[in-house]
Amino acid sequence: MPPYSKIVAGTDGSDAACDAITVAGVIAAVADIPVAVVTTWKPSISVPGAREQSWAELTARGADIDLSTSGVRAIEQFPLEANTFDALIAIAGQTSQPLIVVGAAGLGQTSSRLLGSTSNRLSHNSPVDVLFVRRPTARFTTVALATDGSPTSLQATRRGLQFAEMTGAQPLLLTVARDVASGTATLADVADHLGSADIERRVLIGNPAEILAEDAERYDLLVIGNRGMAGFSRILGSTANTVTHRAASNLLLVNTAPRAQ
Amino acid sequence: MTTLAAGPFLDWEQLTGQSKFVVDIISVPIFSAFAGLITNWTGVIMLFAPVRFTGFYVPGLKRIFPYLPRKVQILPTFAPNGILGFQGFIPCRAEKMASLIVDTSIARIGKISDFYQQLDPDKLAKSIAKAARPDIRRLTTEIIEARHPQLWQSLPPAMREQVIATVDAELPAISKRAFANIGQYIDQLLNVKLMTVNYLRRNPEVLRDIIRGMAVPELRFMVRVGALGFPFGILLALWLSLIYYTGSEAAEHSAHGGFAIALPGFVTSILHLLPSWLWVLAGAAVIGIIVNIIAIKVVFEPGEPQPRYKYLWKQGLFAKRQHQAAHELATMLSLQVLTVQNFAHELLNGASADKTRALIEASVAEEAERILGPFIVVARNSFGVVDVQGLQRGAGDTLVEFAPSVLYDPAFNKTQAKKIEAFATEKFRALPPDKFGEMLYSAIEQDAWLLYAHGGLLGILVGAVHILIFGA
Repeated sequence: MPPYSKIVAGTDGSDAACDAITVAGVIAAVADIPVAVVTTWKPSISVPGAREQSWAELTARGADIDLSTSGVRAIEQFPLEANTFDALIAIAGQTSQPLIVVGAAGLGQTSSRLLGSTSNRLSHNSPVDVLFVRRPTARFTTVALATDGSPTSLQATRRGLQFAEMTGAQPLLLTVARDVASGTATLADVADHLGSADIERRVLIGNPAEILAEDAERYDLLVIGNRGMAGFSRILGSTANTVTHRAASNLLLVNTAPRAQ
Repeated sequence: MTTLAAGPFLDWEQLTGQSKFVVDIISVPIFSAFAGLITNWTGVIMLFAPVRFTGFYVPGLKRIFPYLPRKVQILPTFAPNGILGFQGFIPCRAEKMASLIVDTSIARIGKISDFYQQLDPDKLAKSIAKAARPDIRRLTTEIIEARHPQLWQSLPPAMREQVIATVDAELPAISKRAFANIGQYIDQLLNVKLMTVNYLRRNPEVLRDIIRGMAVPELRFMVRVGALGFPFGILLALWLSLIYYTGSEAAEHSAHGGFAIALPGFVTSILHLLPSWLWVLAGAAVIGIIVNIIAIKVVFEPGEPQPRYKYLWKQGLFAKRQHQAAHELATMLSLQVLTVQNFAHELLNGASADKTRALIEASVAEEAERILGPFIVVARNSFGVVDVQGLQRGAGDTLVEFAPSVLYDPAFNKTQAKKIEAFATEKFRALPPDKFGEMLYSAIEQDAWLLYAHGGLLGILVGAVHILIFGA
């Protein structure tokens, strides 16, 4: 069963957003699912009239054209006067299994994290899965499913496996452990739970957050659960938080909180 | 208690218990920052609004207009017959910008025929033939009946079917040939520059929306940099204090234990050549002008990165963001201006429309003669004279009339828009940064002095308010 029934893609016409539209197009075309393009605007005092309704409509049309070129068959445009985060969540809320796709431009910069960017807010507060696009890809070939063997990470790997099947990518189980033996054991256990005995596996040694963020570069997509993205763990510093902000590739942040189930 | 910092209504020194220096060093920078922000904010608004000339009749303006300096005459503040008003700089210079946009992008690729190839004429031809197919019977009947009602009626049904079947089979080829012929002469038929200029002149709001949407970060910067009025205000406050504390009033107060600065007599007299209220107004005007100049210069100059000793900010902000802005500009142009619909409209209804129609008729005529030849021989034997040219013209006209229904189809426009967007993005990105910046700067540069003057004027206004509240 495909994990997602609709993609909700946010765009503001920037390079990062265009990359997000490209990736949304790739997924939607291969899975033959619809895409909702969300562009938001609000009246500006500093530059009156700029980036208002006509801009939002044209930007959404531009994204529509890009998606059509990628082969997406069903596209909806939502140029809305709203906060981007709220609009994305609201549109996603209209579907049972949505996937939000956005550019990751706001995740890496300290200023955006302090001043608040949509991608940063999504990473911490989205009730649905979010794919942060850092580099456009013409097709997904390798999808790495990061796990520490915990029940929530198992949930994330399961979703990641479905994503890999949906996009025709090669899945790979990934873990960071103290030593190879314990890592191998964890992966064997997870593979067993997933029912994929022959899935490719990889054990890394070191600091989980840093090494995962760095290793992500090797894959088209890294899949992790969002445990520790909200509440106290966020303040104390969680692996998911560090990886989300620093991952060197596209990242699928799977919502493993009970409300998402 | 002395009353040194006093406006007509309030004695600030008494109110706050602070010296004139303290009152000035706080109030002047705040007012200056306000002046800077408001001049730059209104300056940015002036770039875009109003989109169409708005003004009123001024008696006598028509008479004095010819005597005004050229620099003033060309401002977007005058309309013919003594109308004084204003039009935003960018909508006012729509033609100039449009021609620059074409010159720097489409024109640079070489010929319009290259651009025409981007539209995929073969596919266009196929689409038209495909779209016309369900109507072939009606169209063919109409064309022949319009010229020779009795000929069509008298043809045996089998022969009529044969004509329709032949037209149906040959239509893709006819359509392809017509488009190939158009492609061959496209340089004479389609003037993209004229089309773009005319379109944006007719729809200045499109250009306004494109530019305003594309340059938001720079425009926002232009407004915010007005806050530089604050540090300039500190300098002004220090200068005003120097003048005050070297003046006679301060000397008088120093006798009662107040503070005063003693300078050589000639320096003091130079400093006091102008009354202090004039210093406030002049200082505020200079701040209004300077922040406006900074806003324009930092955004547009220099195009190419320069060493910091030449330009503190190295490169104009707009040029620095060329990669991104080029894409935004290309997307907006491909969606609104360089559309298949506009190209088709220009070809079929524009300046060279008669040539296009003649070319299509000629292309159709060649084919029609071949298709209808055998039938015409039969018809001639039965009816005598047959208006072959009339038939061919009818066929050509029908194709021309039918084309827009395909060319204006949203799905078709979508596919082509992507190609044009990708094409234009590449061209805009490849431009040297100064050429790219020039597209926007050209609309502002020649009238920039009006922006600066308005900054000065608003500065004086804010300075006057400061005098009114705090005294000179």
